[in-house]
Amino acid sequence: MKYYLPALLLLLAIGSIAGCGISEAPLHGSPYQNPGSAPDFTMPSTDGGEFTLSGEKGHVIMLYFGYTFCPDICPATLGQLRSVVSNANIDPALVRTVFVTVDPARDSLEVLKAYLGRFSSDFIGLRAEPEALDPILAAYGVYAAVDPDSDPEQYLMTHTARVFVIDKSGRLVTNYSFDTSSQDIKADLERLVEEQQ
Amino acid sequence: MIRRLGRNTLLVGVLILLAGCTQDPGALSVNSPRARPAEQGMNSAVYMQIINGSTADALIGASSDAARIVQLHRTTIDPDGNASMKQQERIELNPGQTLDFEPGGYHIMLIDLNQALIAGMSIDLALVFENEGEIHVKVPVADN
Repeated sequence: MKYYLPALLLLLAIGSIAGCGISEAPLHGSPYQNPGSAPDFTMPSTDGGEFTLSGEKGHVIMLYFGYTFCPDICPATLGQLRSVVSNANIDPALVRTVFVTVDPARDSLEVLKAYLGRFSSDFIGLRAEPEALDPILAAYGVYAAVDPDSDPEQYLMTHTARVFVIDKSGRLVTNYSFDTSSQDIKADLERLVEEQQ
Repeated sequence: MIRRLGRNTLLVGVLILLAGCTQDPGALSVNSPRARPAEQGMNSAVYMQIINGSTADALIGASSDAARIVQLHRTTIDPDGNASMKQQERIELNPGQTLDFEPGGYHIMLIDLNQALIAGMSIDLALVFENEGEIHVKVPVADN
């Protein structure tokens, strides 16, 4: 009788280890419990045409909402994403890095293109007028507002600093906060690019 | 006599050693400065590490010919992941404190660059400290 409990614990341990091999570990960042289709949108792009999110199925999309006046968080994030894409063991053509400006008043497509060109000519910049942009921000739960304490001539913005990840099927699967490591993003990207649709 | 001379020499030696111990272990230093590349007319940020000396000090300003406006800034991120940037009038430095200026935290913001900053070049930056006075730093432009 006294041997039953250790034997049972051993069986449970073996079962849990075997179980780890079957169910995949969750993605890093803040993965969505039941990933659904990413909120769709169409916006003018720095590529010259229109960018429609749902038209990009087959690509993994890393979507960020920022502004070019930002010299700190936004370039740090873009630099990290560029580095991750180039270091990951993937075909970079299967990844789209998309930067949506939350500051359309200052960020024309030309300004966006010049700003993003510092990082990668593959990065896509998108801009929409506030009435079209606001529902998209709301759909992703993105906050963006002018800081009322900042100089109106050089105004600063508070904005959600998360990278939203959309898989090849068009599902919003996770998002990364600013402190997510490049190693974690790289591991997810390699896995998502490999995944069958 | 000789014994007394020896004792006095020892005493003087000890006093010299003690005097050495009470000296400033090191003045304020600025290490590993670097700036982000950016287009003319756009903004950049300077990062670095400041190691304060033995007395309390504060960074109270910065200037550079590289930009029309140079400000002290701090980015903070709230628990919901919202980032905001605020201009700082002064950044306090405790005695002996090491303060890192890095992405997502303190930085010197260069607004409206007078010239494009390209990786490999460097810019001149003057940091103004309340006690230490002005320190001039050569800041290389790093890759993004």
